[in-house]
Amino acid sequence: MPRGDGSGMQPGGRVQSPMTSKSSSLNTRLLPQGTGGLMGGRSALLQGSGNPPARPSNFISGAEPTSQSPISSKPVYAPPVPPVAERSPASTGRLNMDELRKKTVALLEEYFSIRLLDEALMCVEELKSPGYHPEFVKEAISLALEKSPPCVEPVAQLLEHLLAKKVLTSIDIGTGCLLYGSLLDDIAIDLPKAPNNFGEIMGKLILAEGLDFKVVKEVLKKMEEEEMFRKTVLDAVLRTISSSAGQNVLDSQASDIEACQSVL
Amino acid sequence: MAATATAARRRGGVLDEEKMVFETTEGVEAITSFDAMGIKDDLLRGIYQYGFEKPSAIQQRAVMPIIKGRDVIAQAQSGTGKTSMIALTVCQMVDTSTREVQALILSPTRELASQTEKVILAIGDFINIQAHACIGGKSVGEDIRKLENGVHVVSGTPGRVCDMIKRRTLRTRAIKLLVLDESDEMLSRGFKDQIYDVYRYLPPDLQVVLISATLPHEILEMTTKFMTDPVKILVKRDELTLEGIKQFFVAVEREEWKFDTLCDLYDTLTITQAVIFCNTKRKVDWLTEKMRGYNFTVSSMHGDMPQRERDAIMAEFRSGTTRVLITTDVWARGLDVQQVSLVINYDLPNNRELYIHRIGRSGRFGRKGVAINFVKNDDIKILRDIEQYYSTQIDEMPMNVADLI
Repeated sequence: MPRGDGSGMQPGGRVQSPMTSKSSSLNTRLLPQGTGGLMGGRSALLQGSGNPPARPSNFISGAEPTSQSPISSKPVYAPPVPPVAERSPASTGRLNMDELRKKTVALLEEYFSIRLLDEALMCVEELKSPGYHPEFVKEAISLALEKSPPCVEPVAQLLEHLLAKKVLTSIDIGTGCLLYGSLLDDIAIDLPKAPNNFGEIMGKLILAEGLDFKVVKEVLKKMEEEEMFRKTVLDAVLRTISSSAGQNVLDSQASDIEACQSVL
Repeated sequence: MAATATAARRRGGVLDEEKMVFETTEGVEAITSFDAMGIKDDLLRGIYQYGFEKPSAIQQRAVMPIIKGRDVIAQAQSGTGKTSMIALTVCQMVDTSTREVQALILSPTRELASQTEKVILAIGDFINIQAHACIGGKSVGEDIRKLENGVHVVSGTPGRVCDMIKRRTLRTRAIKLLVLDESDEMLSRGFKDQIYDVYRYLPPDLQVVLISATLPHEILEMTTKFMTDPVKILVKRDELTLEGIKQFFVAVEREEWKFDTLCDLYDTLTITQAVIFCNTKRKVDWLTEKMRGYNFTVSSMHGDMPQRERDAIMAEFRSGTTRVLITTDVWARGLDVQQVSLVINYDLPNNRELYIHRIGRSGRFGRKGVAINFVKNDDIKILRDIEQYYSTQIDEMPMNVADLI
């Protein structure tokens, strides 16, 4: 094969798109937190392969009722100050973002491994952090798509289940999709199938009435660098819906679909 | 034997096929010590300091041909020491007196790319190796800075590396070694075009090392396009077997009775060491608290725990300080249950593969063990299915089970 240092490629550096909110009412509340998700979906199994967490957590020690075990004789650490406390004190409660994220990854890993919907539901409820749910949705999509093979169907089922049981709202799902969408330009470089798979997930969520094309349009707008990704995502959304006999959905949201296509 | 044979047969049509098209090249010798590999002294120091004592099968066979400059195809899975094999050879081959990228490692995920970078930095500590993992996200600016400062080795996904080459952040002129790690996984993740793209940017006199667990047609095609007279090395991971493991079940009518049964067995558990598997982390928490509530000493581990805590629990278990560990499948993956002689399935696993992962042994450990399954009425069908699938035998637990451990 021919080789040699290629020429004629465009110079210039990648500019990170600022995570400021635009027009949608969905994203204004949560997008500032989204920066924390840039490494989103990192497998919990690998989390510890590098650096141990900088701060000790009190979670385990606090959970131990007695002191007969060698582990429980460790000092009980003071809980770290939640970094987002001033942003949404009511919604995050006692748990800080790091802990929430760790618990989220753990419960998702377990779900993708054993696929028990009700077990996952209880775990999400135990987070007691409705304000974190959009991040949860983003994390779920992110982790699902990093699996090999990707867990498109299981994550869609989980989100649908949590929506049906009213643990998640469609606003959580929409905002979560926006959070993921705003990272997609970057994610897709390391995960080429992510745009298509993300589109399939959104298609399934539209069929479950957890999402509509107005949100899809906002998600598409978040992908600013690669025109191609927008098309891949929207194609996958439409294909998923039409292959599941969702013609009525396509008809009823025709004008919004057109608006999506105008974004391409 | 029957269990291994059946298990191998079930998974195995594929394995046999692979073996037919792929044999280790004749004349590949196994070098059984790092000292005999002609490795730089300072690198050798790093290897031993990192904790390696003896090269693994793949390291014994692949290191020498790579160091000598040959193209190498290694058929190896994770868990065979391939990451450290890559790190070792890269460190040996790079000239640290010039600050140019000389080795490029492509991996299917950011995590593997980072892990490889970390092992390189660790064992290359004394040769002052500069390695960098391009993993995107917020670190793009950092990538550019690090690469401008000059590094010897770059590790990344094909997409990311391709992007950096096209942006001219990553200069390719001094690259002499390309390593394609987990190549089949890279292809299944959709990186074929990017791999070919990257290859086109690399200098003509390039040495290529390709590692893959399987060798489908697309991979063989890549080897013919990228490689010249490659040395082939086949390393099989030890297959898990149920051979030598005595398996029993205890029938319980109700879920609550499992707990009573476990308490009755506690003295037996602590004869040596035992791992108790539950299917969910909530159940692990519940069972741990309940056991402790009854003054039984147990430790438990799952994913909510900080890594440090998990490491501490594992260390205590390995050293024998703790004797009973309650955990789930997800968190037991890093656990070497091979040394544990008693495994309890408090919950039956959700699938057959998990069963052999929980209680099976690989040949090199080949030690005896006992497994006890708690089965509720409707679980017995699942157990019989497992029994049949692995052509093994699971009897009702005898009273004298302690004598068997």
